[in-house]
Amino acid sequence: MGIYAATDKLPARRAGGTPIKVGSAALDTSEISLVKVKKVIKQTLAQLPALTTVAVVEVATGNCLAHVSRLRGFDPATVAAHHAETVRQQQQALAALPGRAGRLDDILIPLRKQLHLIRVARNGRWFVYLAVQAQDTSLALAREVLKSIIV
Amino acid sequence: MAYSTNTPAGKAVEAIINDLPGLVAVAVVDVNSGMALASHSNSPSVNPETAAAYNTEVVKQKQKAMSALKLTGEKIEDILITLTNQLHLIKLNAAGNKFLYLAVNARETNLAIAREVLRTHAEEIN
Repeated sequence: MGIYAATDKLPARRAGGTPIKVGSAALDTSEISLVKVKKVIKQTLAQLPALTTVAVVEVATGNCLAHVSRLRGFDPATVAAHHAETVRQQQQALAALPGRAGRLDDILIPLRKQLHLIRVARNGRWFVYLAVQAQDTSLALAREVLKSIIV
Repeated sequence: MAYSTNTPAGKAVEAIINDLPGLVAVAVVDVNSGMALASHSNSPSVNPETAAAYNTEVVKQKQKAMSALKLTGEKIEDILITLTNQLHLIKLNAAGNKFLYLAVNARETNLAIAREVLRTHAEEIN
């Protein structure tokens, strides 16, 4: 697969060429398997090679379990907690709605030049945070890729 | 039914279903986001929203190829994709910001009919 556009700003990189940084302390305390977390990140990298950031975050604690970032000097762990708070607030809002509103699937944040997506796992305990350049990927494509990986 | 007949996109989808009742899938797609404005599928295996997202990349890459080849004054009218058993068609509107995506069974519909149907409804999604 690998539908993406090589741009001047972001040269094409081999999928998996970027090391996956694992927050081992965070993983020790969570019940989410490292194998699964790594697999999710690898699959996302393979399908969206031009992505800028992908991270797996635990909803309850806001701990970043693993991440890959192509932005120099940017640690996704610093924003992971804020995104986790967004997810928790939205889950609470859904719980407060009358009737059964259903499960939170994803949150899409289109910025002018970037797209940020949050896809919550089926069990609602962890989510994937993805950031891409808008010129590389469309909102729908990024969403479909995350949907195919996190069923 | 993933469309509302109150919108132009939904009306176009409804009209295409009327013209080609045996179609596999149809969608009106926004090129910028790749999101389907209206869609319908007669096959459980074809998700028109997934098809919309990936086919948007096809359109965008072709537009990039054309600008790389400096084909000024040209624009994509339609893209025809022949599969073993299916025909997939993409028809852009005049502005080039939306397109109709149609998948039909090759045994039931021929290319000329499918293309003509899309041509008649392309103006409705401007």
